[in-house]
Amino acid sequence: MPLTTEEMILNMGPHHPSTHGVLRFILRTDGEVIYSCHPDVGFLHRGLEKIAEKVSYAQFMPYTDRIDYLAAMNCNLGYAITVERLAGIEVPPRAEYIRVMVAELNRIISHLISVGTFALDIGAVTPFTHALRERERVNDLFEELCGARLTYNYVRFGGVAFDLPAGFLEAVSSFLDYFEPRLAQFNRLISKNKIFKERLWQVGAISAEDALGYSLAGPNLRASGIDWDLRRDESYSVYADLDFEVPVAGTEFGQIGDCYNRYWLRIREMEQSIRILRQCVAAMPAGPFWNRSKRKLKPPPGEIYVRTEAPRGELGYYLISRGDDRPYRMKIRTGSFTAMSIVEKMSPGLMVADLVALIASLDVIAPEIDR
Amino acid sequence: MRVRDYKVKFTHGISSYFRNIYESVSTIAVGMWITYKTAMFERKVTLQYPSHDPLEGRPKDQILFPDGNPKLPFESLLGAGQSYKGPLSPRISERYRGLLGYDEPKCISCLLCAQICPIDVITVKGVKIEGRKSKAPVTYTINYAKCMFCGLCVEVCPTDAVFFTRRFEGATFDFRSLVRDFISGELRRERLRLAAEATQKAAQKKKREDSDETGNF
Amino acid sequence: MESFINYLFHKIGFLQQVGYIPTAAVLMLFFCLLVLNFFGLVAGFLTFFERKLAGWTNSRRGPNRVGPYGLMQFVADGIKLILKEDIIPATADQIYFKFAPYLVLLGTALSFVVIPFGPRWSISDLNVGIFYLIATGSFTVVGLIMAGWASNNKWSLLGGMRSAAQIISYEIPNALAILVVVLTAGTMSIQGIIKAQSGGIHHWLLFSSPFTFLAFFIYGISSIAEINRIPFDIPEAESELVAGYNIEYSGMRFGAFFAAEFGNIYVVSAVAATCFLGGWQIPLVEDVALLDPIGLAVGGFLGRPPVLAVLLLGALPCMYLAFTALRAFIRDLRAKYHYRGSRFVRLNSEFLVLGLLFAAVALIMVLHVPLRGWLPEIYRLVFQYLLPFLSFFLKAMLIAFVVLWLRWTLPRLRVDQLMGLCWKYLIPLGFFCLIGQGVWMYLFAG
Repeated sequence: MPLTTEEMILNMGPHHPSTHGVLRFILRTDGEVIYSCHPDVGFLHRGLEKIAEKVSYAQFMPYTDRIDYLAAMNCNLGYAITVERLAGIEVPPRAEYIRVMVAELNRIISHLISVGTFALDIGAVTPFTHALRERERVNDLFEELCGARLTYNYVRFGGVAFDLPAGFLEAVSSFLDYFEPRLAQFNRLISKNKIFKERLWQVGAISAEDALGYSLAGPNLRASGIDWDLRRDESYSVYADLDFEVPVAGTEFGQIGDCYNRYWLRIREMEQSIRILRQCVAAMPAGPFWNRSKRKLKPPPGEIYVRTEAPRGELGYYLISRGDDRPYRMKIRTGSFTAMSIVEKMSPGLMVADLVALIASLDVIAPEIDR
Repeated sequence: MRVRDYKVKFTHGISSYFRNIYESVSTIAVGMWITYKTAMFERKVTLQYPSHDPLEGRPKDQILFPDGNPKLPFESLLGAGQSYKGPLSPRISERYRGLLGYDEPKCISCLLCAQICPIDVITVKGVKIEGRKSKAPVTYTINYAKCMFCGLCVEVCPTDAVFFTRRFEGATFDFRSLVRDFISGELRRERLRLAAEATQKAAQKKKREDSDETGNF
Repeated sequence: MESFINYLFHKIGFLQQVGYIPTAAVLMLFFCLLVLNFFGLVAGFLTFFERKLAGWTNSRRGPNRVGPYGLMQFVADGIKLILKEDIIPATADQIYFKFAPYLVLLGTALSFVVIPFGPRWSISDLNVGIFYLIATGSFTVVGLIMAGWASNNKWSLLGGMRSAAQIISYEIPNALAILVVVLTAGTMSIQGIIKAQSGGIHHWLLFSSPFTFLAFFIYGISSIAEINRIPFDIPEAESELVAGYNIEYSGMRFGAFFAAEFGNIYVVSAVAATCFLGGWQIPLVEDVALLDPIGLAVGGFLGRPPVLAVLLLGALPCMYLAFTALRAFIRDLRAKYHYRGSRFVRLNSEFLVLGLLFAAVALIMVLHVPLRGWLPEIYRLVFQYLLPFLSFFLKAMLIAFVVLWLRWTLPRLRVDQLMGLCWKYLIPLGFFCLIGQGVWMYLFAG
């Protein structure tokens, strides 16, 4: 008589020790290998898009912080650019450079958390705390700049809320000087570790067609070999004047599209962000920092879709305005939502430990999925 | 169900066998050295709140501004609100968004803060009394349970009556104490009385004016 | 300890004429309880030290609130675990559920029977000591499977099964490395193995031949897998994702698993220290018996009146320092108690520790005077028993430190990679070491 194993349904439930947020997966597995994995989203749905119809444009800015709280500046920035393009508001150059600077700093700390929690899910505890230690330095910088450490509410329509305090640029430079060797040390600690490599090599390889088909964006897309970055290809703000490379997957980091490539892509993006930051600090122009518009902003009727490159992918704001001081409809397109959808496709055949690695490598965060 | 072919690079050929062993040992040794270095030789970043002064022993480069002096607690804008004078206050930056504070003499009851707040934390009501150029508040309630420290109210206030203090220890056992009215009952009754008097006088003045215009009454 | 027990037995053997009192058994029981206490203390200290090391590797301090430098943390943890509610799932198999932690603890506690503390100092020096250790290590497997099955939880069961497979697989390279040691030493008794490493550091098995050097690492890796530590803690970390074998346990039942794990760390480190690092051998001393005349000489020297006078004089400043430190500590305690805004008052543990240290030193110095007749014998015992014990304990703690250090550096291996490591790498290397050591011994050791 052939030996059969029973299939069981397991709930990797919303109570998750992992730090990706409140996610739920319904797995069908025989204990070792997963047959299917169905993600159940919606535990963190707060109705942000509905709230946008109730509050005015300026009042909605703190809510954009909470779309992706680890990359709040980028979310603020996307929203501000959307409304500015619709309403035709000019931004002074100093404000543009400040915005790019804080957006790239936020990209660094978002990726730090991403690689830190990735290592934590694979079992190494120390890289996570080291990443957080570096993050604290940037949090201190942001606290000096705008008073908050996580949800900044800093970008305004037509500029930024506060000017840079005295000595801020030197502080950013000294942070970058401190951080570059720390990043190299982090790589020596965990990124090049043989056990880490063996866990992630050729695991969860997403092909380029799958990536495009499931509309992945950001680092996930570039790790599958597609060279597309909104900062370079649909340039917004002053990214066109800055010199940086866009890292794309390479075979020295494993198969194209596997978890190891996604991990290394984030590390390399951090290095490029350091480059951008140094250029911003050097080229910061003087001048006004906020082109103040009316508080009750009333953009002309119309619709617009603006997408920016947030650390987790493409963050798009689709805004319909009927001419009054509240949006008529605001739709937010996030990178994590599409990343969740591809988990169902990639999971059959993986082991449970690999599933954890896959989810961690896609860098999903629950508030972005559910908004 | 067949497991996906895990072409793990463990067992391909003799040279990769020994290369695996060498790579494992070398990367593990490098990792262990980094961990050892961090454990034994680096400064610990723990701030032992509240029993130790967190600036004690903190290296100079961790204090952000290059002139080396930590920022002193700034108290010039703190009116009725109390500043936090504990060990952490030099470390909290100037623009830190602590709990909201309110300076009653400066308030002109323009209601801008109440209108801009996205979650309706502030409730204001003002009346016109004599002796003040603009309206005087009779209630000014801040609901600290809901405040998300976004800073919009502080930004729009024209007179800096509402501001951020550097207090962050607001935990209480009774959440009803988190809704705080900054105008005391006595002051409110006084102002309502003054406002009632002022409206009475204005009504009388208007009656006199009307009567003057239309002749004797 | 056996000679000591015989000595005591002769002294109080008259009790046997009073009635049937199995004096030897009672004495043995007493010593076993002492060693169990030691097991508890060491397991507790290792939990504390692991948390401290965890903090240090993450650029933070570990626990430092509960006692001086946080040393009482494990006591607080133990009390907390005892006070917790004992939740047993209604559908769990009650008898096996309650029995499983004891089996796991049994496996660890039984190993303490043969672990030596000094030259004649272990509960029992079996002449199959090493073999006995490998055998008792297998109790853990039964306990884990029982725990997994009795929890009535599919994921508990799988975690238990996986852990059992891991432990059973890694017993083979474990035994192979131990075989290399037995081959070199020629005996399976633990004291015999240690005595075979006498004669200086180059006789310690770690340094004596390249094959034993390799066997040390094979033993190290397989032991870490035996005790379910990172990088091999799939059964425990499974509980991060789904469930492990101890998910349904709460309170002191979980505490039993926990203490067994840390006790196992000590056992494994102690065995590595005995087999490869020379046990209680002291590096520069060829034979421990040489320490006896040194002890007698030191005791005799210290018993002379001029030296005693110097000691008494030295005790006075020590007592003064002890009093000052303790007074400062008590003053701080009272300030903390009385001053209402006292959360900013630091309680300096340094004063307490320094005070107690100086008091102990002063007491020892003063006690030399009345005991001057017995000083040679006392120092002989100290040199004979205490120094080798310190040497052994330090070596075991060093290896335990490495085990803890590995946990905070490495990620964990996936189950199939873990099995691949065992069967494809460690076992061939183990056989290679065994055969190589045989050849080496034939060529070089005659």
